[in-house]
Amino acid sequence: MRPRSTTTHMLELVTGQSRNAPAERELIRVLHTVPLSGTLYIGYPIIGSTDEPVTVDALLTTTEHGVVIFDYAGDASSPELISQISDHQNDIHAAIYQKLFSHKPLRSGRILAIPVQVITLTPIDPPGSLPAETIITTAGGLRSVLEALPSISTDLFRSVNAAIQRIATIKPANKRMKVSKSGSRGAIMQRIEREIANLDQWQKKAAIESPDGPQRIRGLAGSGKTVVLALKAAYLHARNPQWNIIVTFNTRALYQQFQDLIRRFCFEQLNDEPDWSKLRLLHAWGSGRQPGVYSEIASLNGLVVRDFAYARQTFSYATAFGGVCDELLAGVKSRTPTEIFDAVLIDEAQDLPPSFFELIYLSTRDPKRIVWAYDELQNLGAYTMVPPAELFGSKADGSPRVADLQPDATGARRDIILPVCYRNTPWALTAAHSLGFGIYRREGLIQFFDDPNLWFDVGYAVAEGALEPGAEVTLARRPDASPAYFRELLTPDDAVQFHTFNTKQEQVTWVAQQIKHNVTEDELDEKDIVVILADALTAKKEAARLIEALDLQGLSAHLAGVTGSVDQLFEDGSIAITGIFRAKGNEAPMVYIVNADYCASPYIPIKGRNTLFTAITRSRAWARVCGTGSGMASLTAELQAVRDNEYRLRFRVPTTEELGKLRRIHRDMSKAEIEEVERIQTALTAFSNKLKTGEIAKEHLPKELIRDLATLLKSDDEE
Amino acid sequence: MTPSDVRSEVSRLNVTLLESNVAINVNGSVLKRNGSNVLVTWPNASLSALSDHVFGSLQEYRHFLRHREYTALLTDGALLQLSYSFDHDDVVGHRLCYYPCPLVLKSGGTSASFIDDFDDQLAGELEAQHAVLYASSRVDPIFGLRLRGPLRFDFDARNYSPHHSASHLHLLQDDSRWPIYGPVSIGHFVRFVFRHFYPYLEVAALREWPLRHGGRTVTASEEYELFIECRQQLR
Repeated sequence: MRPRSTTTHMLELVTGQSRNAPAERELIRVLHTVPLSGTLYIGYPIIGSTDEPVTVDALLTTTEHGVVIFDYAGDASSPELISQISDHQNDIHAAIYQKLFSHKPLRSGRILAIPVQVITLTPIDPPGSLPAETIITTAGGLRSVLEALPSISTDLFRSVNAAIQRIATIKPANKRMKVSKSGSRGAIMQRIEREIANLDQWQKKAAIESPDGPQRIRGLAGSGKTVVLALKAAYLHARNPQWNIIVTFNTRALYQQFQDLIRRFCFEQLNDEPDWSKLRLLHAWGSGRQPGVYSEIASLNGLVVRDFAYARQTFSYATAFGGVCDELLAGVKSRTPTEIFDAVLIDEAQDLPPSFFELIYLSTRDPKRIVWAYDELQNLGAYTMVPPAELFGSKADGSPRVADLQPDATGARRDIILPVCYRNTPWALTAAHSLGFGIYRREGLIQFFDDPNLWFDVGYAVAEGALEPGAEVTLARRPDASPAYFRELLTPDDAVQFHTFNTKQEQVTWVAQQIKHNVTEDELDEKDIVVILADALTAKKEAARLIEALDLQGLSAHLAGVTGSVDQLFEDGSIAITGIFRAKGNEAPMVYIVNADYCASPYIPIKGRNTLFTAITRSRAWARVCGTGSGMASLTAELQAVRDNEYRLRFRVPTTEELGKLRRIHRDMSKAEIEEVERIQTALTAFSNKLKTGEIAKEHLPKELIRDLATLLKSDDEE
Repeated sequence: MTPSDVRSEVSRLNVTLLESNVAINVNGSVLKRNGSNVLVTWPNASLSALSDHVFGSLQEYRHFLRHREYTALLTDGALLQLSYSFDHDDVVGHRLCYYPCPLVLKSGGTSASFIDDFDDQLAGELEAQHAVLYASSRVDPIFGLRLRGPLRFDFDARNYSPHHSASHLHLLQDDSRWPIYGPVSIGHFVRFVFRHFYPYLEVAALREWPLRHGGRTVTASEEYELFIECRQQLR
């Protein structure tokens, strides 16, 4: 991404927990009078040192003056106090120095390449002279102190930010030892990964802003929501070690991911393992083996803990958790709820029932620090999240407990959108949306958002026309919804390609040859590649065929899945092959989708299109969609239309009636239904053949039947 | 035989296991080089971790499962581990392990998340066992927990001693080493496993997997005790 802030002289503010609000306001006021490009972190970070955590009141990183740390002191009026301040400054300096020094790009030989200054702010100027290197000033004197500090290069500035935001250690950068050619796919990924290391300002803000009250975080899939939540949990825990903090989610597999991320952030901040008895990762429900948020709330309130077997029997499979939460909520409401949590962070909020949120609300102490995050659109099934006013229930007088999400008194935002999708190229997203909905399908749309406004939330803007029922519209991706590096490093034609083959064997042979080329000429690692098998039914056979083809190229492969852990899709030196279900939540630079023609099957219109959408959006840089037969040819024609329209979506917005009709016609059939349709189709083909050859004459059939058939088929034709 | 030959043979084995529906999951072999030494093994092999768990324990099985430490996971939950080490093109070691699943699986191994199912069933089973052993409960025991130990054919040409025959079979416990006539080929191992433990599986390719013959490493003194012999068929 481009460091917008460096070109426009802008000081970005990231507010954490403040310790001294008046001093903070004063500091911000003065800094706004100085032309600075960079970031001011308030109440952040907590620097882990070997002894104990050092908290920094404020930290300023700018190209103009490098790294400056602010410490507030109430009094600097005596030599003793000044000597204490001086000591404290040395401790802070040592901690920051140590932290930055561990980042190679910030070193110049054996010393730190950038100066680190510590400034103590006091209300009154200190008397007399100060010890060497100690800076104590009032807000009024700050401007001149700052102006004396040297500037740093843009490169160093970026590295400093990366170090401070710790993202470099969040996703351990792939070493990419292979890369030697500039412009190879491996080199491109190296660039992309480096850019990602510089966490975008939105993610930063979301991670550190901690309002006194509920906070919502949303964004497209791939906008970094889980990372933000993990950072937030670690941050809150480090600042408030005595707090009872819960991180909860719906997918068991997320447990490991959260644990790894939080542990890493805590080590960075505290040099210590988090206290897992205070910062707890709990599955929303829990199981016989692991306690969950639900089971904990139930037992603390002395109510029965229901298990899945009970819930499935009493409610249905799909509403099992909602059912037990409703039941528990009624029980909790009938008594004085026990408030046990100080902060609760909820991931995958879209998968959890509303009563779960109310339960959390009732079990969390004031000021109800509840953070809930969800992807705006996990798949194309337009799922809209319940608004906050409904989510947390209402007070005795009927007014909502959480009326709105206005920023709190300190200005910390309570409604955060992560608008940039880092995971996918804009072309993959547009192609995925186009094919997912069937925008350029010859026979018309397959499905559509119930609420057309969701197009804006997923990063589109109207280029022409209007997004209104019945109107013609052209949508294009907003440039700021994708990081700039994609446009700088990749081309649309290379980002998404469709390939049609005559036989399945031809298909796997080509895929294997391409992969060979990827790991040799293109300098990608095996770990960068995933092969997704679109059709789950034939997946095993297809995997076997693919393993054979890869073996001919001297490559090894493994089948992903069965470990129950998300982050184990990839293995060193081996190509991952996976079905579409395991592919969810995973991503790879190069994605091959095999047997994509399955997605064009008329029997599973919705499932097929959703599969295609999910598969294409697994690609971080390149998607290769492969298949055979006429189904593949029609999908390829749709992609061609996207390209011809320069990755814009041009279509007529369906009216409410048309939406209803779409849903009626395009629904996935059950196995029995598919067999029935196939049976009738066979019979009809025979019938029409016999009519043609004259073996059956029209006159042999009842008149009513002929008339009905003619009417039905004709009217459908016209539509 | 070269490292690439082994990699290829393991690929073919995996293809056969998948096509005949014997395996739920497979990991191909990767070549890990260290000077003139090449280890051909499953991608996730961490050799130090192998000793962290008691041989043949529930934990060890679960660890292998969770960390994908296997070449193939069979439908009954058994694991196959195949790895060979080379010095240049000479086989200097191998580890061929058949690790049966300690549970009689109620739902067959087809699940997308085998480990979660395994854990759930294991928890239920342990509870049931506990109830049966320590309480006069009315719980109907399923007795799905089995006492079965892994079989591991190890070859280590460099660490030979009178108590550590170059090629040996670990049975029941880690320091039991039954001498074997010499290094065991993939074919010998695959035939042995599928003929003896899966006699009902009619997959000819597995029962007739081609053999390779290496040298003999069994010593004269070992031959005076019980040991495992195999003769080469003359053609």
